[in-house]
Amino acid sequence: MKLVAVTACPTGIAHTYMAAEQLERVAKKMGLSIKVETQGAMGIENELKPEDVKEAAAVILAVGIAVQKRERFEGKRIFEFSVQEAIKNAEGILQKVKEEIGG
Amino acid sequence: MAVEFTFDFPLPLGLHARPAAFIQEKCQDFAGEIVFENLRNGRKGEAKSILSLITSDTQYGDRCRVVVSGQGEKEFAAALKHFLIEDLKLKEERALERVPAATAIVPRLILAEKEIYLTGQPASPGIVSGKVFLLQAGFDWESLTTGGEGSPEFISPQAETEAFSQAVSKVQQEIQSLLPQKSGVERNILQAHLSIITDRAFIDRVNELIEKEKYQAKQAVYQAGREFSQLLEQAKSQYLRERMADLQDVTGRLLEQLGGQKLTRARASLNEPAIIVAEDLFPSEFLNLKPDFLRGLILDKAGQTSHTLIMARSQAIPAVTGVAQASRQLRSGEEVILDGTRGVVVISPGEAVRKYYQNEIEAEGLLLKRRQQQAALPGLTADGRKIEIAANIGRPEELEKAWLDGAEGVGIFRTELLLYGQPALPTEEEQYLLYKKVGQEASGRPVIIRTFDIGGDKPVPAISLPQEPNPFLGYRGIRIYQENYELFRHQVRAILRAAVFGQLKIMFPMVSLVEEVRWLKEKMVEFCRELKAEGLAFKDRIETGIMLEVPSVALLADKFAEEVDFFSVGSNDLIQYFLAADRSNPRVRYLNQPLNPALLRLLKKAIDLAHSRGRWVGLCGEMAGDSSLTPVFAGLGFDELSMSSGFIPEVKAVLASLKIEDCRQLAARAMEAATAGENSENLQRFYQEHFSQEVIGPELVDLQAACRSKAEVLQEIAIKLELSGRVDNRARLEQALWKREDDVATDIGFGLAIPHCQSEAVRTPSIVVLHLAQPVDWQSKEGQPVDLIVSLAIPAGEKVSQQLALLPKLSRKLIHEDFREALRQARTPAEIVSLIKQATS
Repeated sequence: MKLVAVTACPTGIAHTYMAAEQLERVAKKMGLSIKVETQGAMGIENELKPEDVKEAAAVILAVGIAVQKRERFEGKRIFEFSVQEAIKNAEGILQKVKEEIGG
Repeated sequence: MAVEFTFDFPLPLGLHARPAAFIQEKCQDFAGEIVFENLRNGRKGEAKSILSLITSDTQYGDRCRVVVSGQGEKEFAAALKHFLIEDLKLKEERALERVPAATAIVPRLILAEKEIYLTGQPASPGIVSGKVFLLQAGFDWESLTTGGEGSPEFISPQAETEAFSQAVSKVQQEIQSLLPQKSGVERNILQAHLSIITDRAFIDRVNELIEKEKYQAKQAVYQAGREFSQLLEQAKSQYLRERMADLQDVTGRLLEQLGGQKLTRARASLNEPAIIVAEDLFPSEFLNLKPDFLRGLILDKAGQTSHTLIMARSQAIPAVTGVAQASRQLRSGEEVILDGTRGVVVISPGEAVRKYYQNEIEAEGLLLKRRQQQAALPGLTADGRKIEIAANIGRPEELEKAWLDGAEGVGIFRTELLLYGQPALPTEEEQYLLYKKVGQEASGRPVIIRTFDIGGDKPVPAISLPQEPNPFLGYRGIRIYQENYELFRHQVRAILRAAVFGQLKIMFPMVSLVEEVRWLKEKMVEFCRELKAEGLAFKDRIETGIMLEVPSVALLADKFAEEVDFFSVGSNDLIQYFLAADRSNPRVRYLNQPLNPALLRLLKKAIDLAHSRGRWVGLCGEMAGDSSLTPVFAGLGFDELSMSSGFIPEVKAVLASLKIEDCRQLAARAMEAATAGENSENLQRFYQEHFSQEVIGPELVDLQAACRSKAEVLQEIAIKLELSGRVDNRARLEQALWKREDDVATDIGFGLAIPHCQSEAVRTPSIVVLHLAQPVDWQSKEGQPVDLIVSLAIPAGEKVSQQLALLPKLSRKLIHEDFREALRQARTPAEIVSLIKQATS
């Protein structure tokens, strides 16, 4: 199963990247494929392309501020969490998403 | 029958005077009786009495009961309930919005510990703790405690009651007649006074004292005022202290009506070290205080550029100004901590706040050591352009500190300060000896003696000058010399004579026309002739300069340059005249813009014109001491910067790191900007481009940090960053860190917290790592203790830079347990530095 995610926090120098790292790390452990875009002080990095979104079974937003270019995810199943949650409980989040979309 | 209801008090600041006045106002409409009771403490009172309401000591969330009885009680109770629960809050919020934003930075710990504190504007940096000494006019309280029945003054209780009620209506009229002219805070205060003076609890108590105790009216007022003050004092609330001041003010007004004896302001008779509290302090009063005893200043009305504060800064005496009603909120002998860096005064602080300030004082000590190293630097840019760094002084006694601070000369000796508080003018001989001493003590360093600049904001008792509607645009500086010829003559002669003993230069203030300079020089020639005829030793070739403070001089500097050897920009006055803004008027303070592009163009023009004629130009205004502006001044081409000596080390250090060509480019860019705001950004960018350094060094690591609380951790981070020169204002950094914590606490589990912020106070992206000896509570929802701190500080406005790009890498690394463990296992700061560098490479 393929997933995509966006992480973003107010200052954009710490939590954004920690959450991204954590989601990637835990997904790998759980045998999931995930691409995480970061929206932080460095701007948008590892940007999700239309084909990434198209292929994805669900979109995870781990954010503390408004997501840029949100329109890309129209029509997709979106799961929204706080950045802190993604850092502290990435496993729970991914488990939940997996169950909800019936993977 | 009566109607009652209960409610929880809705205002976060409690029931202080303003909401009490709102409630009283509302209740006045009702003819019957309204009793207000605080069910938490059982205090009960009449809701039509402000004093009863505020002495109920009602705080946020207290359950209160209101009993309404009389005609129409049901309707009124319903309306009052709605008012108390809904309207009161709105009214209060609206009132608070009008309070101007303070520039003080209140350490979070002071709020958390619920300390009583006052705020103002930081006016002279430094921290000091000690007892306060109130310098103010007061009443002769002694005269009010004697008298009464049997004394010749006492006629009858009826007569005293009558006198009291007359005094009340007189004061009431006075206040009412003032009201239409006032606005904002002042108006609110007058209104509060009005409601106190018509307060039933107060009036009843005074009458009771007259009738039962046979007091005279003035004694009764005094006694009642004291009783209510004591009641207010018991409640540990900031607002009640202010109300106490209001009450004392009102009693004072009444006592004046009743013939109480008023004392004049005590001539500062300080006989032990103390922190002076006053509404304002004249330069003469400042000079009369024994320097050893003057530990700090808490003022209400002194302007930032007032001479008192300029002197305080030059003598490193911590000061806060703009402390509303300071002299009425503090009492002599009270212990306070005065934080002149942040603009805060803490009254009788508790243990945690004391510890916090002890840390701050230690940090100041370390900063001082660094300062001493910087003070020893020469006034040179990194690539060798010489800019002389000099001190501004007002008294010869300041020389010693100036040399310690690293002054390479005296850029301006403001001689008029010698006249303050002196009943007679100094003679030529006295002046000669003094200037001679200054010249000798300078041991070869240049000293610029600025002749008397009297008038404007600097009145002098020994010389009577006419009252003018616009003194700053009127009769001041050299303009008064023709009429006060002997004053001018004696001073110039004294300087010419003293110049034999040192490298003295003479400088004239408030020049606007070339003809004025020609007249001055003619006179100097004449004085030389006199001296020669009298057979006195003197130096006839003395370097002669003028202040550049009137814009006309700037644009005609080439013509002036044919008459003088140098110019020194008095930036305070130049800005005032150039931007048409009275510098002592807080309403137009926003126009005091050192980075205003028009001002920079004017300065550049003047400097270029002067240089084209081989003359040099200095800057001796307050802004010369702002080290963040040093690159701009260097770029404009200033040859000398003269400042309160306290700023010298920092300015020298900044100068030593600059390359003159970079500064010139910066100045050129700044002159092309449209606003001062754009120039702040230009300056910010300049620092980022030219001052990049590694994100971490061993000085930013502590593996055995002794912090005992989250507050101390954030303080320690701020201190480390300022000590390493990466942050120019640790107070603002600390505030920014707290602001981020307020959004969401930055502990992320695993015993790790990552406090971080983006702030204008940060010069270069930096990382601080602390491993705590004892874990601390991070005050977050999860509440897991934290022992590892990795803190990130980023300059404001920074988007993409090389160093910034390192931080996301580090953040990602911190997710991995092995990395965190490696940080915890590290034995030396160097190991941490290399771990961080590996992680970010």
